[in-house]
This record gives sequence, structure tokens and C-alpha cells, in this order.
Amino acid sequence: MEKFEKDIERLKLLFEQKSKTVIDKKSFEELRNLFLSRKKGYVKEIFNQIKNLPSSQKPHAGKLANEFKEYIVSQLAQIEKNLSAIKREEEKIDLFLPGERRYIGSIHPINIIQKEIEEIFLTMGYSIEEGPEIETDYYNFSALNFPEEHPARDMWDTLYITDDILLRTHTSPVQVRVMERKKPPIKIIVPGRVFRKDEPDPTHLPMFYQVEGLVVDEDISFSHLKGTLDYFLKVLFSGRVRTRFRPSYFPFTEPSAEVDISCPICEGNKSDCGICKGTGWIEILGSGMVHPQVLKNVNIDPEKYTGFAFGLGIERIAMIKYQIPDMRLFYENDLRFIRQFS
Amino acid sequence: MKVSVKWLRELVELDCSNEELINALNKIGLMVEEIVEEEDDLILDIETYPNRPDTLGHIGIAREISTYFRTPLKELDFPINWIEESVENFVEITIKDEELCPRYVGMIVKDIKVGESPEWIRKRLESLGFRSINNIVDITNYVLLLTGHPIHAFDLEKIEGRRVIIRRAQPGERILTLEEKEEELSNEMLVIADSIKPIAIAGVIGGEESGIKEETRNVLIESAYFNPISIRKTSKKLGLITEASYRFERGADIESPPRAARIAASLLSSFGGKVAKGLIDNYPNPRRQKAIIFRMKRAEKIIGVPLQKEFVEEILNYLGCNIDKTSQDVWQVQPPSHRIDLEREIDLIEEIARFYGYEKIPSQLPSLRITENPFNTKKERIEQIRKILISMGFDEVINYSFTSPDKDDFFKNEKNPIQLKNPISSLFSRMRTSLFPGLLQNISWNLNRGAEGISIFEIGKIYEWEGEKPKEYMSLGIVCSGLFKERYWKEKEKKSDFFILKGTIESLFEKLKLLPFSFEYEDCNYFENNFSLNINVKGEKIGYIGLIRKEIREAFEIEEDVYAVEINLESLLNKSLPPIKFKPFSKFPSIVRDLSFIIDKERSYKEIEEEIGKIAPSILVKFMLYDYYTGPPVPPGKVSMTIRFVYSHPGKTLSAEEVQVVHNRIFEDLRNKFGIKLRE
Ligand SMILES: [Zn+2]
Repeated sequence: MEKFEKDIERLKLLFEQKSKTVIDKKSFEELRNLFLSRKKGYVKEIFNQIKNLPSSQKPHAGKLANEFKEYIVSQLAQIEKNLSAIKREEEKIDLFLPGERRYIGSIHPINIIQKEIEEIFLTMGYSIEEGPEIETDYYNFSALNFPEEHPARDMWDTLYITDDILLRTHTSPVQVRVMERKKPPIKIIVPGRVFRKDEPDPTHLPMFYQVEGLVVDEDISFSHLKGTLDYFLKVLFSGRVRTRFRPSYFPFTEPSAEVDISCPICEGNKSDCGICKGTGWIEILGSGMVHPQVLKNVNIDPEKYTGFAFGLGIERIAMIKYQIPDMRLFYENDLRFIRQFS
Repeated sequence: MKVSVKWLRELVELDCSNEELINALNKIGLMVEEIVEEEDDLILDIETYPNRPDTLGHIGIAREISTYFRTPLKELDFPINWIEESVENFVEITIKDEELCPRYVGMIVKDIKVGESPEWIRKRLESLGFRSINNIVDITNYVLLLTGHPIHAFDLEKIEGRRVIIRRAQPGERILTLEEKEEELSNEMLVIADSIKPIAIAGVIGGEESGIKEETRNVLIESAYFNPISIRKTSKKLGLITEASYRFERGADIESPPRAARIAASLLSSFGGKVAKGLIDNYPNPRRQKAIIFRMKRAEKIIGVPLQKEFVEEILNYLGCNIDKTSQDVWQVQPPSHRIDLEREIDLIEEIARFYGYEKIPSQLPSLRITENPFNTKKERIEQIRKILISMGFDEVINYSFTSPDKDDFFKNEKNPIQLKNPISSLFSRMRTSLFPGLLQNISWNLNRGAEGISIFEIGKIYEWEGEKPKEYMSLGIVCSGLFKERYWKEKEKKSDFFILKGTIESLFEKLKLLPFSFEYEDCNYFENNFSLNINVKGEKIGYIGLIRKEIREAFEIEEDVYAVEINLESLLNKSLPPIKFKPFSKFPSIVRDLSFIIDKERSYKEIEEEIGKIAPSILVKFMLYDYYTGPPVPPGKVSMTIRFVYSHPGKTLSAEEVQVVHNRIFEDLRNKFGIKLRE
């Protein structure tokens, strides 16, 4: 018992000595471990000694041991407090050092714009449909009222796999597939990759993205086509644009219209504007009333139902919105490009 | 189509400015794409459409303008210097194939002196993009530009036997064309022949021998109508598109040949030519234009505006239609022969809308009728994957669907790749069978342009033949190489490695609730040996992850290691997910115990993991590899591991003793199974 008490005294002394050498966090941790380590700290050692004492002495020894532990714990707390006070005074951290940023990746600009377009139409009650990129001549051309052996087929140069199998030149085949499957009312948009036999240059690519829309219902008129596209383009370009509808030709729509928007960059005030070439207008969209023959081809009665369809290129929208001068940038996938948009 | 404004003004009475004229053209869909100012003229480049061959001549454009401004076309006078001798005395014309040549008109002009055209013709042709050749050829081009109808001039003396036969070419026949190229003809091509040989490829190009030369005196003017499909096929087969074939393949006006011939004869008269009396008009089966039933109501329904009958009638009349009013609201409309595009009611409605003015049609939104569930689950999940991956620091890329076969071959395995028949180049000639060729290209591009590291993913389709059918399915590819994270001043830089990528997909599956997933060693020919795993989700193999073979990355000029994973999204997205249901968690504190031990290196963590999973005491809520170390002081052939166990009970605070019992049991089990030794 005497040895027990002496040990405690000796350790208190040791603690006091050692505590003077505490100058920083590291030496403080060493001291704490020395006394409070769960496995082999001095405090633990003291408690271990209790079980070797005669049972009559155990309660007293237990009390002393606990007092010793409390002493060490409270002293350590005091030392730690002083230590951090000193530290704050002496070592001012440069808080202007760069923070640790987490790198968050970027979504490809095509998908950013595609998503924006989809959201606008989802809020207007459209659903999103997709379809195969490798198509048959029937779905890509014939069902869409392209006459056999007609120059209308040259409107786009087509990449072929066999005489009958090709890479779709537009997402319109999906319109046909959906109309074969569903009856009106139909309100869909169809985003996706399309292909043309075009050498890559600043305004052409052999592959690009389109979004097409199709509405078929009773009493759908050209006026609805105008309203829908007006609304869509205003939202897409944050209200900064006017639209212009011009007669055009597509085999699968009639009447057909090309849609221009007023240049959101220069608003027609710059004769050397790179986006609108100084005309103040940008061609952005093809559209029209669904041709009655297309409806017939999918067994929808064109007397009862009418509809409109439209299509636009996503790269083109992105090029206007972000003022990207060269279409090839989209598929070079240079990180310095990709990381600019989200 | 290049158009002279001066010429237009000769054809239609206009009192508008040039600017108003251009504006009008744009409004009716004849988009002016380029304007060139000339001394006393304005040349417009106008966009035309494949269904409107009538706009390929100045008269056609003038007719559109006349309809827009409601001012009539001017009457044109083409006087002819006739002689008594009849045209039949000079030439005999026989159509042998009426299907390919429904009409053929011939006229003869005698005693012309071939020479330079007068300046006004030369200038007009040149500013419209034609080269002036000689007065006779220039006249044929002038007629083409005026009427849109192609005509041809033969040197009458070069027509053997003075006989013109319109027939199919015989196999093996050849002809030297005006472009001085010898073309081999085949049986589906229509030719103009004399009694011996072809003298022109019908509707495409004339023969050099029968062409107009300096010594030519007497001329046969050909003004015909050829079958558009036949012309298109011939032009395609020969790879030869001419001003004539361009118009004939779109469909000429079958009523135009006599008039076009007469205009040519008249102009040649003015150069001193004498025109043989009459004209040969072989037109065995005159065509009857069908009338179209037109309903006012239908037009109003399609366009969406009320229409005035007078307005509609006026427009249709100006366009050259004849109207027979069956009733007030239902009309029989007979379109003019030059408007081959007007076949149905909808074609007439388009004309009404065009001249009504698209800008005057009000904008309205259709009523919002509920169609169906607009929710596209597959798309939503792809969106989710995209968001998870960018949140983990990966950038998204998009590559072309086609790639070069030599790069794709590295990754195609046993897939049967789809080749393009007419690719733009060999670099784009195969539909990719994997996303890796594109992704490796992207790594190479960026690392060779100064990037220190790259971590990217792509979601897109890959393609292969499945028997006779092309198959395409969504795939997810993720790759990383070089630095994974830029250096931060507080810590060391972090390089891409296998476990970063493996962790990425583990997190992805966890977040997507695609559980359970597992991995197995499986060699894969594009990954280094013993450095690839297959990936199983819910018991289905869906992809591979590994270290790209050195030779392959070197073929892409990449110097850094590339870690890569490709996952078949189609099968992943089709997996059904259980609905999410809340699971209660313990309110009582958990107890953490570490187990540090030495184990044979041969043992994989997967075995230990599975063993713990097997015995899994109920209070064990989680365990994780806390430390892994090989090398001294750990003996060779051994590794030191620390696994941290977290224990908790749903209904009470666990005592240290209770935990120790369970913890010891796990230790005992691992010791019996794998011979682990506790570390000091
Ligand atoms: Zn502009």
C-alpha cells in the first residue's frame, strides 16, 4: 500500500516535470499518451496494481487511483487550453491560403443544352421518345413521304451500311415508329444522334444531335406550331429573341416553315457579327404541318387528326448560346472546352 | 439559283424597290442567300427546293413575284423568221421508248453564222454563272435560264441519215461527250441517236461530235420531256450532274417543249437564222392534269385562320390554276402544268398559307391534353449516372459513333462489327463496338496538349451485327490516366489508379441501389494479364475493369497507365429496383473494435470479406479494411491488415464484454479458416 501511494506521488512529480516540456501539440499528445494510454499508460498501470493488493485495502486504493486520474485529466485539460492560447497568439495561420476545392466534373455542353430543351417541353406536357440510330430506308425516307429516286433524298447525304440499312439522317424515323405504336393525342420530343455524309468543317459534322418534336391531335393548326415554337424559343433564349417563319420544303411536312430567330448576340446591330453574319437573323429550326401522307402511312386518319413537327440541331443552339465558333470543338473533347459550360 | 433582278423586271410589271422585292421573295420562301451588285443589275442567289423545278427559271420566279404583288406577267413576243420549207423535210424523229421520253419537239434553223453572242447575252449569262461559248449554245442556255426548260442544239449535218431516234443505249455503246469525256452507256440509259450511233445522252449531256462548231450552219433544236427517274439514275451512274439533268430529274413541265423551242428559234432568227416551217412534236400520250378537290374549311383548319374566298381565288388564279366551283366551299382546282408539285389539297393549302403570309398567322398554344406518363425511366437513370460521375470528378465526353477499324479491333472481342458502305474516310468507317477507342483518343489528345491527368466518361451506343440485324446498345465507359487530382499544398498529389476507378463504380452502384455487385478475376485481351476483373450486378456479368495493355495505349500515343471500365448499360438499366423503404437504425451508441493481423499474401480480401459476411453476427453493422501493409517488418509472403468492425444493437447499449465475445469469435473463425495471426 505504501508502495502504491509512493508510486502515485512519483508519477505526479514526473507529470509536473514532463508538463514543463510541453511546447506544442505533438509533445502534448506524447504526455497524454504516457499517462492516459488505454493499454500501457501510467494511470492504467496504477489501476492494474489495485488487483494485487489485499482486498481490505482495495477501496482506499481505488479512491486514490481515481483521484490521481482526475488530477491528470484536469491538468492535461489546463495545459491544452494554455497551449492553444499560446498557439493562437504566436502562430497566426495565413487564412488566405487556397482552400481545398473538390473537383466536380463537367457535363458535355450537348447534354446541357439537350436537357434544357427537354425540360421546356416536359413542362408543356410532352414526353421524351428515343429510337434506333441505325435505321432502314423505309423509316428514314419512304414512310416520311420521300419519293423513290427523287432529288429530295439528296437534301442530306446519307451514310449507308447496306442498300437498305443506313444511319438515320434525322430523328424523324422515331416519329413514325411512335405513331405506329400509339394513337393520338401524341405529344413527344425525340432527341438523338443523327448522321450525314459531311466532312467535318466549322459548320458541318458527320454526326450531330437533333431534337424533334411531334404533336398530333384533333384541330392542330399551323397557328399552334407557331405558338409552340415562339414559346419554346423565347424560353430557350431567355426572352431575348424574336422569331420569323419562312416557307420552306420538307417532304414530310406541308405547309413547311423554316424558323429564324433574331440574333441574340448583336440584335442585328453588327454588320460583322460572327453569329448572324450581319443579317440579324439566324436560321435555327425546320418545321411544318405533318403531311397527310405520313399520317396515312401509319394508319392515322388525316381527316380527323392533324399535327405539326419540328426539328433543330443541338450543336447549333449551343454555338449560338455560348458563341462557339467551330462545330468540331464539340467532339474533340478537349478538357479546356468541355469544362467551360457547367 | 442565280436570278437577275433586271431580267425579272422585264418579265413582270413591278413598281417596288429592290429591297421590297428581296423581302417579298424571302416571305414566300424563295430565300435570298446572297446579293451581288453589278453595274446595272442585281444578282440574287435564291434557295430553291427539290419539289419546285418551276423556280429554276426566271419566268417561274417572276410568276411567284407576280402572285405576291398581284400584278400580271408581261406578255412576251418572240417573232420567228419562217421559211416555206417544212421541218419534216430536214429530219425524221422517232421515239422508241415512250416511257422514258413522253415528248420530243424538234425545230430546224438554217443558215446561221456561228460566232460570239451579242454583249447583252454574254453579260447576262456570265453574271448568272454560265460561260459564254458561241451564239447558238448561249441561246440554249438563255432559254434554260428564262423558262427553266433545258433544250439542246445539234449540228444537223452531223446527224447521220438525218434521223433522230430516242431509244435506250445498247450495251457497250460509248459516246464522247461535250465535256470531252468518253462515257460507257448501259441499257437503262436513254440516248438520242442517229441512224448509226448515240449523239447525246438524253437530258444529261450532248455528244461532242454532233455539237455546235464554228462550221455549223444548220441546227436541230431539241426541246423534250424526259422521265425524271431515268435521268436521275443515269446522272448518278455517270457521276455527272448538268444544268439539264438537274432540272429534268426534278421534273420539267411537259407542256413547255414547244414554247421553249419557239423561243430558241426566235432568238436564232434574230441572228439571221431561217426557221423551217412548223415543228415536229412527238407527244403520243398527252397528259391530263388531274383536278384537285379543295375545301375552304380544310384550309382554315390547317392554317388556323379564317380565309376570304376572294383572296384564295385570286392567289390560285395568279398561280395559274383553273377553278371550277362545285359549291361555295368546295372547289375543283386544276393546277398549271408547270406546277408539278401541286397534286393534293394540302399542296394548295400550302400555297394559300405562303401568300397569306406566315407572319400574319397568329401564335397560339394547343390545349394541353394529357397524353400519358411522360416519365422516361431509362433517361432518368442515365441522367442520374451522369450526375454521380461528375460529382466524383469525372468530365463527360461525346465521341463519334464511328471509328477506325484498326483502333476498334483492339476492343471488339468476338463482336461482329458493322462497316459503313460509303464512309467519309477510313477513320470513320466502322460503327464502334466499344467506347474505348474514342475515350483513349481523348486521353491522348488531352495529355499531349498539356493536361497532367484526365478522368472522363462517355454514355453512348455501341454497335454490332446480331445475325442479319444491326444491334445497338447503351454503354458506359469510364477511363482515367495521369494525375487524378491536382496537387493541393497540404498533401501529396494523387495519381489515377485501379482502386480509384473501382471505387467509382462501387459508389455508382451503391448510389443507384444496384445491389449486390461483385467482381471476379477474368483476363480480357485489352487489359494486362491478372489486371482485370469482370463486374457482376445482381448475378449478371455487365462489364470489365482493368489496366489497358501497354501496347494498346502506346498505339494511341499515351505514355501514362490507363485504367478503364466499360459497362453494358442496357442490361443495367433494365434491372428492376425494389422500392425504397425506410429501415430503422439503432438509437444506442455503437462500439468500434479493430482487428490487426498478419495473413498469407495469397489470400484475397474478397475471401475474408465473404467469410465475415457468412458468419455476420447480428450486432455487426459494418466492417471495413482500415489498413493494408506489406514489406518489413511484415515477413515476406505475408500482409498486415487491420479491419475495423462496428457493433451496435437496435434495442440496447452493448457492453464491452458482449462485444468482445463476438469480436473474438470472428477472430477465431478467421484464424481457423485463414491462419491469421494477431499483430503485436
Ligand atoms: Zn448577330
